[in-house]
Amino acid sequence: MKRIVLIIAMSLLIAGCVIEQPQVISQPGISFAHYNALGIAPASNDTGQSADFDFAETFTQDLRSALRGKGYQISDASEAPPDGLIVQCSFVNYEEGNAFTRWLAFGLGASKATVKTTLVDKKSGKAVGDIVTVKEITGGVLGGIGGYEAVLESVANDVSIAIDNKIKGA
Amino acid sequence: MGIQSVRKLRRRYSAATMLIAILGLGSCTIVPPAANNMIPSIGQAVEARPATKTLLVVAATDKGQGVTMPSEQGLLRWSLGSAEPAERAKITESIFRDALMNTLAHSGEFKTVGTAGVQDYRLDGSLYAQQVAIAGFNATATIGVRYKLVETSSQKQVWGDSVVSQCAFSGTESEGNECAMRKNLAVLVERLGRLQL
Repeated sequence: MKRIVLIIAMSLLIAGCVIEQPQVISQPGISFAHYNALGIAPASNDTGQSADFDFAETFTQDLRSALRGKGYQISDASEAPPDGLIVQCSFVNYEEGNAFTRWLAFGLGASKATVKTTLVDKKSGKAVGDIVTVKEITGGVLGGIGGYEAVLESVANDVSIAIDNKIKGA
Repeated sequence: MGIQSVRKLRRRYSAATMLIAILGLGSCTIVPPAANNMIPSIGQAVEARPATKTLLVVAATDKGQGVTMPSEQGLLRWSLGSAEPAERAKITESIFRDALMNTLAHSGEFKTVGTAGVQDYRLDGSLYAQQVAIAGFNATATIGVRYKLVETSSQKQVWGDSVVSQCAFSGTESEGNECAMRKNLAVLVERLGRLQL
């Protein structure tokens, strides 16, 4: 019996830890190799809900930091050079979650974030790429304290990796 | 055989029966996604007006990248009744095209809606993301579609946007994808209703 319970518990853990790296989706034949300067627009909150803190602003700062760390020239969208790539993010969903609930029962109280990213060529004003990023934090030490911020950092990191991979052709 | 041994056997049998029952319940509900289940109910969002324009629908799904549906088949999915292989739950190009076309035909925003011929407008719909996230007992389907409405005579883009929709579900992944697509198409109809065509 113990073995069966253990197998079920392990399966639940595995099912909750599926990791999918998001990618930039673009029209075939469009090259991103010439983009070195990125203009980051403030992320918008399209969830229709508010939180205890400005999560969209926190996320924008996380994204700037992540992309700067990859060697890109970062500026506000309005100040980006004409040959730059504008990164526009909007929150489709954000749930702060609750670490205590997560600690009590696996699967409950998860911190969640879903972000839609549109990449726009500044010169033409046309959307050249899309990314959808879905992240959930379901556990961790003592239920994953600080998950409400960690989930934002995790999404920002994924978006930066997707953009970096696209530009470098990886 | 002692009483302890019998009890141990009974416990094992009960556990195994429960597990088989759960798996059995899950496998009874496999139905692939259907275009008819993705058509949203057209509410008051669309202002009634005479439809005078015709529309050509062009639907595509991203073939190489972007479909990020996890392939792992955890036990949780089975216990949730989601026993279908992830590939089977995917919304294919033909399902997406049918759902898109039928939704726009039902919306009444265009005089005719078709998939061939020269029409007043062309709507390009590109399904670029479909993803199912499962954590614990929660499952969420996410659909991302980029839409583009082009005036045929001028080849000018009248409207375009990426619409991302989500649906928390407890049934199969197909049902989750159907629900997320239904929400996505409802947003499309609402956005098109705002345009002065």
